[in-house]
Amino acid sequence: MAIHKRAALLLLSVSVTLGSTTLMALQGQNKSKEKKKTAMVLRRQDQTEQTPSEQEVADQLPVADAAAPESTDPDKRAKREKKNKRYDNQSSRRIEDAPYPVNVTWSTHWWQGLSAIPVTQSDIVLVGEITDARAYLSGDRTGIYSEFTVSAGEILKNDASASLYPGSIVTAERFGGAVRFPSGSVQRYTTRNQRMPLVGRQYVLFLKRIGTEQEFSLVTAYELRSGRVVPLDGANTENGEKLPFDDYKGADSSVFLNTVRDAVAQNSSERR
Amino acid sequence: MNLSFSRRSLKSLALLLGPGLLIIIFAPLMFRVGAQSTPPTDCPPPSPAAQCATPASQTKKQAWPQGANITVNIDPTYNTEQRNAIVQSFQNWQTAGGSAGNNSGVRFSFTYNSTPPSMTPPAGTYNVQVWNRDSPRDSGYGGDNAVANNGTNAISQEIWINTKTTDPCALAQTAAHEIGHGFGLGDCSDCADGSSVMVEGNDGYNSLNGTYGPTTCDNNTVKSVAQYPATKTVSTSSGGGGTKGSNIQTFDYYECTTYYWVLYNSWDDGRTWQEVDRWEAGCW
Repeated sequence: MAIHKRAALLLLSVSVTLGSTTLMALQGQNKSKEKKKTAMVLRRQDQTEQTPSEQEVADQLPVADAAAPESTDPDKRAKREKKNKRYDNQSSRRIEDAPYPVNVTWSTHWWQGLSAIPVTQSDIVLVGEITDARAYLSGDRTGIYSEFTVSAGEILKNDASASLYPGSIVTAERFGGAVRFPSGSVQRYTTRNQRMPLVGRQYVLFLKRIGTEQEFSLVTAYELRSGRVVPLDGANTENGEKLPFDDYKGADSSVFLNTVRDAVAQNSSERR
Repeated sequence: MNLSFSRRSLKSLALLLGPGLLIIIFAPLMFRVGAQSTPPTDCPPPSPAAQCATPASQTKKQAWPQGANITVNIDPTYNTEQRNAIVQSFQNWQTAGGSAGNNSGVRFSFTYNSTPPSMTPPAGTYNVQVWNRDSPRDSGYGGDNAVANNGTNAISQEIWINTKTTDPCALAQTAAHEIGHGFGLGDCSDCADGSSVMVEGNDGYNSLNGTYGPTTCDNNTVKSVAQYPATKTVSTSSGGGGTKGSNIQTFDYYECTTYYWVLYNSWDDGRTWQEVDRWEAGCW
């Protein structure tokens, strides 16, 4: 009798297992009817292309010199002071040397309300190469920002007051950067899920005007690398965080550019 | 065909299939979460527990060191009720720091000074400043924070809570969320209300769709990202005259290679493949 009960239990367990396996297989069949195919592979840690760690992101930051002298040119100095002031009051702590390494990560919700292709939130959208990157401390030394020099290629969205053309030079700013002290120590300031563009790389840049001249803040960007798209931001998201930019990770560059052109065209027709 | 089974073979088969059956039956229950935190006085219970979001791959994040004693300075402009609500959130995180929670062993003590503590405190000390101020980065956020680390672990945290967040219950939930960043957690935009303290407010500055402390899901994630080793308490005797021994903590470490399940999609009938997701399979 006991054996019969066990056999019945066993039969139940086998049927449940087989039932669920069949269900999963049927689901798989339904999916395979689509063009999309899916494969799952077990890989060792060192065999996967790792998303950059916090440290790797921090290592790519432009570096400011804490002891850098101010420009002797009054005009240049005034412009720089004006820019520096934008990043004042970032903390109760001034950025000063410390007896140990200091890395500060901001957790903000900066991407909220942004779409993957944030044309409406951008005044300028262009393809450009980063030719220079430098970091600067804010006027009150509580904040730090990075400034990127961009050599413009194709202008995808123009601004009447900017009237950019291929070959124009623009500057784009983003909060964060590293600062080196005379002692040799380096402190790093980053924003979660944001990275900095790298010199010599080509990007589709989404820029928002922040100054009267060709000065913009960097909303987000996509690197164009070997015919593929690599989102600048959000590529290191974890713990259920999902940024819209990840949708285009690995997309074909030319297809992506056409998508951006279409989004710009749609945006401009809506504005009319 | 002989279909008879020996008692031993039936037992072996049951042993093989039994755990699978148990997993199938109990899986929905295993992945339910419970909000364990205590609401501040007169605050409604948090949203009902919901299913955890599927954890993505987790890498080590900078978080408070295990067993840290952290001084929290709360902006004195908060009234007593608001202050108590914020304190309750920290205490919920502290309660969750046991071996049944996230293993952090972190403890908080409170001050209410107008001058903030140092954000680069002496080695071995840890500070948090809670401001009744709008975020300097964007005044539209309900809460915002910056965590400083020394390359090994968190050393200080500044939390800004929007001045429009005035309801004590909303203050407690906002504080609980920002405290989570100090434990290495990121925002969880895909998490269902009640499943994580890291959900984002959905109804303005005084939203009440969050929790007052970490859920079971959050504690599991903290264990994964902060990598607090499991602790076990060993009683020792100092000897001599029968003096009662003190408790010491020992940590279990082991080395292993991490493996990942990597999910690939192909949109061209299998000619090219693109990695779309990856999560930790285990370490062996």
